[in-house]
Amino acid sequence: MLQAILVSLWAFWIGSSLTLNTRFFAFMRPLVSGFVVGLILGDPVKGTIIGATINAVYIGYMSVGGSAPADILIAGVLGPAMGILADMTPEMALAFAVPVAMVGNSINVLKMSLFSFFAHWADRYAEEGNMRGIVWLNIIPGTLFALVYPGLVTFLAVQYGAGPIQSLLSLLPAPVISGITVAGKLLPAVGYALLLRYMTTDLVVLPAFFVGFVLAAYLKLDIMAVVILGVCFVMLTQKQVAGKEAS
Amino acid sequence: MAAGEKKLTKLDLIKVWAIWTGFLHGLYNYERMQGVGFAHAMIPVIKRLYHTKEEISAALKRHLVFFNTNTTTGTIAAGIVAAMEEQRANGADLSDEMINSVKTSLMGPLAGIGDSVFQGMIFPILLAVGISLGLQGSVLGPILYTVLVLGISYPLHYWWFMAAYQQGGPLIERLTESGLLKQATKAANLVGLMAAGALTARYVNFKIIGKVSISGLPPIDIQTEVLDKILPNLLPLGLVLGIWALLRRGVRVNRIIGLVFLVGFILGYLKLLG
Repeated sequence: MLQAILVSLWAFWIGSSLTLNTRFFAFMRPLVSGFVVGLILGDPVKGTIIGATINAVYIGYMSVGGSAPADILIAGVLGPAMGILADMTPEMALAFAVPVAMVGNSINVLKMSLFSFFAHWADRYAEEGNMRGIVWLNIIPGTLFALVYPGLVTFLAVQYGAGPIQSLLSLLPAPVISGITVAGKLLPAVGYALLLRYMTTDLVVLPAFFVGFVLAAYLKLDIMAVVILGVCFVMLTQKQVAGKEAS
Repeated sequence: MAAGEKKLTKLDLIKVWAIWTGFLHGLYNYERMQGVGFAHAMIPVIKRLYHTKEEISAALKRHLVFFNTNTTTGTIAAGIVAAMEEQRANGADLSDEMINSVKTSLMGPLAGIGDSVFQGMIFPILLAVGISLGLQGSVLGPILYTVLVLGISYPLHYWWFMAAYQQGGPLIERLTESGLLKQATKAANLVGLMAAGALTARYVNFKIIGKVSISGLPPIDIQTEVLDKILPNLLPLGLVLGIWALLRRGVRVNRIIGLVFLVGFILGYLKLLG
């Protein structure tokens, strides 16, 4: 019970504006949220692994002009929480989190529609010169909404959902489990392909993708090593170009 | 400085930046987007500069209109508008329309720069490092990511905000025309692509199960004896490139996720992949 309350408090906090937007940069990312949820549930390592697995799919996640493809916040809370409590593999937790993120996204669409209505109250406050009214309007509805979603929803899912999900999982026949597992293994490819898509508006740069691939596939380098190599490589070549222009 | 000139204090400006950062999306909605958040962020400015009910009401209305930009680079718009309000309160001839047109003309380019630099470059590169550590079970992954992403973003947009307040429009010209931004974007682009390639090789793990037997010969394991000999991680590479091709043709992401899920499920169910 205490754990469910703590996880839902975390979900509420990152669902509200009370994070000074650190949520957008860090805390609502499944990688980070998975770690925190894992910490609450007593298994930070598993939480991190599941969070990282989920985040891989959404590594190219972009929220542009108010429309996002998925609610990564709820995926990053419920995926790791259910994964730990119902004893799922990371792939199964991912397969659970992906549809949850899609449903969550439609709740966010609903929220933004509902809040259009509140925006008119702001006009009335402006007419009265009521600054405090505008401040409260910008804080209260969003905070109350976050108490319900993702807050309350998370509480209900963690408190009452984990048991049934676990018994459901134990009923699944082996081929279904291996189907879900393989689906979970393929899904991160979507995230990396999205990244590739954003970064190749100019196809000239595409070889850099294969350089990274070869460094990791043949030389077995870690991502950190590839990033450091990449930064060095870019600095060298750009220095050279600048040097040539100067001479 | 003339006596009685109205001046925003440093604390006022810090408040604007903090409200902007924290509450820009407080009442994010389809009709005005960040409009209410923008007005909220301007309240320390309004409090300092305007005192009659008419002035306050006009200023609030001015900033409640539709506004939408990137949170991070958008601080530049907040800084410029704060400076404009200050000039206006001191008698400069700045109409509502002029302030509004500055806001409207800024939000597009600032969103473009901010979305591509932060969401398109900085986040994915840092996430790539964090995720790869996380997948190996290291809690350093999320911690390192959090420290780096906050440590880079917050000082940067605080500095942008203050510089925009002091220098106004020329700051944006300096940013875009110095070539620095262009160069940095290009560099980040290359590093990001290399990271994406490495992630594909390391962290998309599936293989073909099963052996082909030709009469008279020992059965051949397709994965280890054929595919791995051609190119390690050939299948993950093919999958990522295939999805990339679909994305380039404009297929929606959620549809692709559904498709990949389904194909993966069927192939796993039939024990062809594992």
